[in-house]
Amino acid sequence: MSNSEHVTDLLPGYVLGSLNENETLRVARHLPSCALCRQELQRHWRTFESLGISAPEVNPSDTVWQRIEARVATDDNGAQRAPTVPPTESEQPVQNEAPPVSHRSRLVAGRRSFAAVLVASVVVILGLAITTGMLWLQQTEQPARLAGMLVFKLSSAPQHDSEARGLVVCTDEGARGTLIVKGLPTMENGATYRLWLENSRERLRGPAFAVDEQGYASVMVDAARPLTDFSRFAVTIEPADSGGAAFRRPVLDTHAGVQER
Amino acid sequence: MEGEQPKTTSTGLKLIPDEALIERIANADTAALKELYLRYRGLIYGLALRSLGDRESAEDVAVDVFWEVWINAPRYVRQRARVRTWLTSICRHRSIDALRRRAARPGRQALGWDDLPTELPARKSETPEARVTKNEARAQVRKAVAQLRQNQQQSLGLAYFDGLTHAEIAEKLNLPLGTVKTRIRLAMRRLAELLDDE
Repeated sequence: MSNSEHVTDLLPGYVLGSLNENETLRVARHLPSCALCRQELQRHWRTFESLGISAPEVNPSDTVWQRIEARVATDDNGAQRAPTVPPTESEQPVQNEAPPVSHRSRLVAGRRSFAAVLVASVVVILGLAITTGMLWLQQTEQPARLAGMLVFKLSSAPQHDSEARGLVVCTDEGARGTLIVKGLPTMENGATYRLWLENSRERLRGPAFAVDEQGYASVMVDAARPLTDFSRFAVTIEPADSGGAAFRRPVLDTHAGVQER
Repeated sequence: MEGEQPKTTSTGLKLIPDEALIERIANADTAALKELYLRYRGLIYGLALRSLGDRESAEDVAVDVFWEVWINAPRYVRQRARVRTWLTSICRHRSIDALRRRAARPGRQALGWDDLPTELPARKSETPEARVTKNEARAQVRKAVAQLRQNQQQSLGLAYFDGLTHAEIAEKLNLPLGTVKTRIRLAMRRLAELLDDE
């Protein structure tokens, strides 16, 4: 690989989340095939982590713990807590190789190359038409592998007595996938649904979407890195005036990480 | 009851490693959450305060951080990140989200690396050795940052604490984009060299 193909100059901005979308995608796609850049990324990652302790410690008021305690007390017997996911064999230590923790959502709802992605999505959906029906009936919460693609099942959250269901379909190495939902109620007053992607290190805000009269939606998901880097996908309701930043109680949620077959 | 965690006194919790605290929190142990809070409240609040510049907003972020720990403790995977890294990562995200929600952000004075509030007094239960270790680590990082050029510190601070992109920093400082990229790249590389040497 020639020097011009390496992305070492972009790595500092990558760990800081300061790159533009094209640069971020370029780095994310380059890293899996370049040990040199991954090694350099490790170094910048350690530096980035060190910055977190550069600010002096400052004592907050006692009300902070009181507020935390009060909020925990309202957590209906842990209804809001994520289910425990044991680490799988495929979960390698990624601290030194993972893409950066980015505060910014890099996900767009498939505006670019819309036609090509739409065709691909239609193919995926048709290909899953038969098996999707089987998936709805499956009791297992484990993600499935279908036609070389990974499928994460989203179920209705326990506190919502609902028949709503969802799927996230993606390839092993792909940063693109499709969210399909059914059975969600239509929203009013400007509220929308929002997809979230999460692993143990971060939660990223995905595309917002609306459902049709049948509660159905198909949404393209385009991330800065492989969707398999995330172990949880959740859908929340986002009020019109929320500002888009808060992660609220999910209406659809996955309960397991990626498992290779 | 089989599998139930034995009760541990608050003194006992102080001896437990961070990862073990997270495991307890995953089992809805609020005492463990409080212990984690006491260990990291200064770091998290200080980091948020550095980003946001006002105590009220920083306290809101601190509450959000430990609430998120409570919610996501069951999914914490120790191989992916140390607890401290996980906490500071959440804090940075929440702080930057708060900054972006602010309508008055353009008028906010950017803080220098040295415009930082007073140090937290040592916890009574913190051993002198732990205190020294923590202070040494922070001193190393601050010393390294101080060796950067002022313009590099400024650009890096805007990227890290304010979460600005290269383009946003360039616009804010009225500089060419390439200049900002270079300053941040050189700053991070220099920091890596200095911290590797320590």
